Amino acid sequence: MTLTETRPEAVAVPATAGPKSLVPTRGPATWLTTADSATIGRLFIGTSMLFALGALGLGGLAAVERVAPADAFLSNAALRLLSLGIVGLAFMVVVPLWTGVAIAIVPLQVGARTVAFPRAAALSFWGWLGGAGLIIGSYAGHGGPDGTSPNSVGLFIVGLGLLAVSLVIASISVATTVLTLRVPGMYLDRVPFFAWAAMVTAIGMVLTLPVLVGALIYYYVDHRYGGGALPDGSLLQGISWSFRQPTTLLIALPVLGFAGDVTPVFARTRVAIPSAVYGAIGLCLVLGYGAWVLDVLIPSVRSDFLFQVVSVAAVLPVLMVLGMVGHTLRLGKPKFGTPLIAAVTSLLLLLGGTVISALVGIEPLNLVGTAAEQAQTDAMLLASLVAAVGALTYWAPKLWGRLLPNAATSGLVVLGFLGVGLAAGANLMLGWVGDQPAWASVFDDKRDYTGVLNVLVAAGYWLVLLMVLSFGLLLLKIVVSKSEAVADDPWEGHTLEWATTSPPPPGNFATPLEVVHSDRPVLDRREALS
Amino acid sequence: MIALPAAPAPARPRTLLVGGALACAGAAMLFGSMLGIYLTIRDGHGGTTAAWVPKGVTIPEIQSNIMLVIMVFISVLVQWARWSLVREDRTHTYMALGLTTLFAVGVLNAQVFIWRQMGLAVRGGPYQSMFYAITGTFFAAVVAGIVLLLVCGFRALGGRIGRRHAESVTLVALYWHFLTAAFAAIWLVVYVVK
Repeated sequence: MTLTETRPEAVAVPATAGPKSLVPTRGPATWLTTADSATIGRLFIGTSMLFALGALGLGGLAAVERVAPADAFLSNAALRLLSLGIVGLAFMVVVPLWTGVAIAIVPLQVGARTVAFPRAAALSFWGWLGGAGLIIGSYAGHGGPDGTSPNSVGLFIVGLGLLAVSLVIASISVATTVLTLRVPGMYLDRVPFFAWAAMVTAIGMVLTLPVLVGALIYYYVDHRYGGGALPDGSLLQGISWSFRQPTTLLIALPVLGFAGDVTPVFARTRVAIPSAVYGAIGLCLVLGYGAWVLDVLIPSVRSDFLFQVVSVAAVLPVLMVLGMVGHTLRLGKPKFGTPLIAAVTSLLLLLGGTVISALVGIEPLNLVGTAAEQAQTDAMLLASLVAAVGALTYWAPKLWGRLLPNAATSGLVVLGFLGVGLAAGANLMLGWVGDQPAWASVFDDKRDYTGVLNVLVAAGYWLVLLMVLSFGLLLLKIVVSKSEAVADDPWEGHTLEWATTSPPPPGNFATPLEVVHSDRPVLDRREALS
Repeated sequence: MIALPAAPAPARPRTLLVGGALACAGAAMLFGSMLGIYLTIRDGHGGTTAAWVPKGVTIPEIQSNIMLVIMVFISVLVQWARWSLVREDRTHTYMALGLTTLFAVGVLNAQVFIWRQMGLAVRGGPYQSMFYAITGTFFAAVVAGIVLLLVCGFRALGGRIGRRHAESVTLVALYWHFLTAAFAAIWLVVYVVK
């Protein structure tokens, strides 16, 4: 046989070149078609921070309206605004914000080139944005769960359904990344705590949000065709389990993972018992699964023994992680920075939230159905926002290739901590004073105290709003500025995201990674070199 | 930055299958919750078939039984398609995928027949509202399954799916197995217990 063709010459491929779909794209024109996990994550983060301004503003306005004479300020729209504020805070702010962080950071932490199903992740962003747009549009047209316009109420149901389905798709993408795309040697008990928490949260969302979608399908058919299967005007109550305890523990779960990852880095040591943190995060899935608390169908469910047990036990996982943080800081040589401050303060707020959850669960206190439940939601969801400021500061080099100023962001975290404490504390007192005649007798003039407490709730919301707004402006200023590129590992991190450049190249890692032998591979390498 | 030396090439992850399994778990929660709500509301309306189903309404049991049998057939057929594909037996793969699609269309036909046979107006009352919500959701899930089958069929015809890329057909098979299980539950609750 004679060779008649010459062998084609090998084409040199740059070491940093990834598959075409992984090449990050820039600018609004390419956002629609991007499959880059960092870009999708940034889209989720940026949009949910914008929505945070609206949701927090509305939460404060609703509290002020409760103080001002009815009709004078917001024309009896307080309840509707409050429902938009809460629904928005849960599903348009906290869940998508942490989903965005997970989509961008989890692939880096597990050594993957991108998130699993990147196009599905991109689809989930646009679906979520569309759903959020429909919800806002429905409120603008006098809709929402307790709206007066039937068409707008229908629009709200469709919007929330679309939003929930989109978040399920994003959750599948995140969970599959951790389950299947880990670097060799990274068994599940060596996954970074944040990636572990993101996976557990994602699985929880996959098991929780379809229940919400199922209920919404029934509500839509009932609303559209008037079947009367579900109680009239019960839509808000029918969906409230998805942003009330115990589901709030699941929504706030990524905070525990973030705290678990940040603490040993800033304590400059290793976590003594990592299995306790993995266990605590896993326990949150069990205790934070709230799809069974359908009180619109089973009114007595919140006085059931199981609900009481779950409510009281919610304190445990937060205490476990807080104990780990304290122990690790005691063992190491702590250096203080915004991420650590955010981790500690948000854990303290979560502890407060779970303590309120326990108080609500103790039946003799009769706090079910009072503002104390709102206090619990405030503490858990707003604490997640405070932690998010710390997380975005910590991972800013990987997300934007910039380092945020430590002093300014630390100040904002403290501001947010005060705001959450004020809002949740005042709402807890409202539950105590406003709805408990026996306890309220402690106070001489119940009405006056209620007014002051509502003002404090509004002030708390607006302090958190100020934190988000200031942080967003600071981030924008630094990202658009032509400052010098940040070091690849400015914090001396322990996990794989710090083994690549800032920002990461297309495909996340310029060279293939080595087999991982512990849960802190970059720290292992640093110790081996020193 | 600390450079890490290269690792050996990892085993090919079954990403599609794990993602599909998670999606099926989510869909199982959807149908599970809908059936749970159905039974709770039914219980609130007396808890008996006589009190729940409107008078004069006959539920076509034969057609619903046939639907269940077809769904079981589909499970077998789609598994046959996967079995043939991993053995590079393309003729049987095409035949199995085609028959699965045909039977799936048969399920839609049977569902439409049941709706027409019952002649219920959606706005008639709570039973009607819930019946159409749950069977309509299942109808949509079957349509999604048919779309997946068609995509797989065209990819197989185009030579994009073979023994080395059989994961997508495995995913479709998993989805149809799930749908069969979901319909078995719907059949029991909506058509037998009513």
